[in-house]
Amino acid sequence: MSGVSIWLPTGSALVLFGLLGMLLASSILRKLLAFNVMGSGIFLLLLALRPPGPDGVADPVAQALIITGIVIAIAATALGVRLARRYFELSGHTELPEDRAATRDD
Amino acid sequence: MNATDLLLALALLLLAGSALLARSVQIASVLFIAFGLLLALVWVRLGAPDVALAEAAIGAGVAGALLMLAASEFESRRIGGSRAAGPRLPWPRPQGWRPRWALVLLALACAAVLLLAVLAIEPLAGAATEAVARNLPQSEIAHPVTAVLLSFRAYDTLLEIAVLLVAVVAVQAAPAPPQRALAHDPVLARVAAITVPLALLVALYLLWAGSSRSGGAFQAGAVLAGAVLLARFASLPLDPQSRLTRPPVLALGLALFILIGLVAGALAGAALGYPSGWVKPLVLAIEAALMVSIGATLVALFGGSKTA
Amino acid sequence: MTEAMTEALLLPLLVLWPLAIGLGLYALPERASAALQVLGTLVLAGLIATVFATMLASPEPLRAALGGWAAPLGIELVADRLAQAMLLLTLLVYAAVLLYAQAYFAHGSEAAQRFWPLAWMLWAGLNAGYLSADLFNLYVALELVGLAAVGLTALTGQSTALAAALRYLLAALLASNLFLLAVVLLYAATGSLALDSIGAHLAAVGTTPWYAKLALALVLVSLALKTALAPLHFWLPAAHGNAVTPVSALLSALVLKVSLLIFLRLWLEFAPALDLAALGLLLALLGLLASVWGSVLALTQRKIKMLIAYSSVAQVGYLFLPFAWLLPGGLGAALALEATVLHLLAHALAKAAMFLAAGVLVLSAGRDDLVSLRGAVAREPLAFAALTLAGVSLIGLPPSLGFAAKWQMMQAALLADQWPWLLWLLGGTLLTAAYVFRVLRLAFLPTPEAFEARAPLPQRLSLCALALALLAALGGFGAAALSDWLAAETLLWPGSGA
Repeated sequence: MSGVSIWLPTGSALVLFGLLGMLLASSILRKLLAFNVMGSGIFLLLLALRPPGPDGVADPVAQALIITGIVIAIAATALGVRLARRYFELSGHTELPEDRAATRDD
Repeated sequence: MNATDLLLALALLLLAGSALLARSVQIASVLFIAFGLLLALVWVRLGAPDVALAEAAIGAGVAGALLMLAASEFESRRIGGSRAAGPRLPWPRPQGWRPRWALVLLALACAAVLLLAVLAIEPLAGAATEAVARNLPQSEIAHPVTAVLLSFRAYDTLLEIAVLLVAVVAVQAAPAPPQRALAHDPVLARVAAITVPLALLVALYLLWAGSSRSGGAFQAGAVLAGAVLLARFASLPLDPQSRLTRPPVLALGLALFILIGLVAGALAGAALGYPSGWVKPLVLAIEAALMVSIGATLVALFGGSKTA
Repeated sequence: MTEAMTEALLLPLLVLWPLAIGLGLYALPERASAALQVLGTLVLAGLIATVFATMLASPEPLRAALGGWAAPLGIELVADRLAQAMLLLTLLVYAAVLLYAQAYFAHGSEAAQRFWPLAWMLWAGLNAGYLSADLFNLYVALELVGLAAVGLTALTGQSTALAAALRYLLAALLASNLFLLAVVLLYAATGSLALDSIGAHLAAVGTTPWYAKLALALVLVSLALKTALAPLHFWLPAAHGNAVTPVSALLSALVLKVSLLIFLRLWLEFAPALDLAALGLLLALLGLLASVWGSVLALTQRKIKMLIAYSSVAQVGYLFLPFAWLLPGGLGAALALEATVLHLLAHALAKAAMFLAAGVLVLSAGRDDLVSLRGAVAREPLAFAALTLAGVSLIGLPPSLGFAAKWQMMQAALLADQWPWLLWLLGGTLLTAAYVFRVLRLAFLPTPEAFEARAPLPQRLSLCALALALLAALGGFGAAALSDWLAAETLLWPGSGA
């Protein structure tokens, strides 16, 4: 192991960004975006923590897990986006009631 | 730690940060796509080309496009200009009790703990990699990642396809708002006329290559979806979308996977196993069906609703 | 075929079969729907019966290495007694809910068409969660359950349901990411994804590294969020209260339980390696708070389904109480485990029955607030009976399953010398009784005229609710046998008190 991999703090930072985004962002779409960023951070940590094989190729199990994770994330994101679009169409809001700014809302 | 990696890491964080803080969700989506593409490069740097392909096609492409599509719709349909003078931060103070500073501190603390944890872990020297390498010959699949996805941990892949299908069923249960008919764009049509067949070829190549090197059903399916969507947006005469997103097509991949998993499994002695000598054709059959289904699913997730 | 081979096909079928039925319901025309589901349920019942029969022959849990690859390279499914109990519970609840839904949905409604495939895929996900012995596979199974549940929540397409579904989705996604993070840490630290392999690795190391504890904490937070343990329950009331009745029943009875079950499994698996006493106490305290909070809020609800949803928040609190005593080598640990499982079964049956019965009353009155209950004794006596019996189990009166569960909990508390908890258990019973009686009392009031004119409802609806309610209310009789059967194998800690 030649020194600390830079991807460890990078992944951690991405997880932090994503977490903050999911907790604090008001619009539903932003939360979904943050979810994806957080997921990417987690995947980055996974690969950074698994040392590559002798030929420089990354751990195949880790790669398979990440591909699976990416597909699952897209499924969830797609569902979220569709629900958000439908909700917007019916209610005119892009945010859930508890996240709306404290301005007059009908 | 070399300079390229440092630069990539900083750029990644910059893109992620600006995507989350961007003024409008549309800009955020574009930045997110850029983030995804850069991340694909990082995957290559880390020796994971399979992941890079999936990230670029699905993680950046499909996810970013979905977000951008919704964001545009929200912007264009917003009644009145009440949002024109938005707050400085895109996260205005919500009504109701939400101690933002407490949450920020909590998240920071968690991230710090996480960083310490990952720095402290002593990674086991490729234990899983060795197990895969050891059993690879027996699996009769040349490419390790494909072997993991379709042999060693095929059950995960099967369930993941089920997750994708569940998303489609749920999405189709909430009908998409009607979309404006697109104006015919001759430039796009010309580009699409060349790109679409090319993309189909790429998809087939990725499918075929997956057995012996990077590629496979997911990546091929994503490229296929891109080709179909491009054909639709360019209003090419061939518009397979409505036929493609019918339930039988979407269900095909999972159905075949389950069928082969059980029948071949019965012959091999365990579900989701393959009898010796039959591995290559069976895996290829599964991957081909999955490619079509995944491609159709990704298209369906965009807004092709089931025709009555 | 050797025994191992039978298991290797039987166990995966418990997941693959419901998936196949779900596919069929999605892709085939609607006319085939009823026949497909009858066939599906019967075959699944047969499979579960086979599992039970095989287990009776030998006390060892059934194992299946998928693809023939043994863990930790491949994924293994394990059907121990805990899993079997859950499989049977799910079968019973689903049978009742599916029959109910057949009569409930207006013929050919759009929502109904999507309900069937989603419900069956949810079933597959639940079974997958019960059987899996692989950490990442559990993540995928939880995703399957989560997305199906969100889809079902949004089924009505109304604005409130969509908001509830979105909130549920976002909470579930946050939880999933936390779970995934934990998987990453554990995989990096142990090089394996198989539960027993990870557990063995952690126990073998002298002092468990702190990051393993962190990973477990992440898993617990994630699953607590999915099980809606207060204060992480914010998503539940709207989701369960605004969904279509059959969906509410499935969500409260089963979806909440699978994450709890996985929580329980991981707790039992990793307990020898980690010091869980403080964590157990924290969980019990949160459970206590949840049961108070949920009950109080239930008392203030106007809509009947929201009341039942808040009742779920309270009951989930109860489910977490025994964790204070569920420690290896701890006194009362075995009893605490039995109490948890019995309570889990009791709540699932009672809550499903409650939602189904409430659904009948809401339909019969045409409105969903508590006024719809007036005159229920005369209008819909069977549904009222179901509601009452379910209430009996919820409060914990003998001879119900709920009573048996509470009894075990009290014994565990006594054995562990923690009698202050007894006071709480008794107090909690009173609070539950308060909101149950609040509901039942209305049924004896005279029926408002407006309700008289409404068309009568098919009896089948009430009968489905009644069947589940009877199981809950009379389940106490079988509780002792159930406890013995469970105890025979699930508690495997060295030197644990019995």
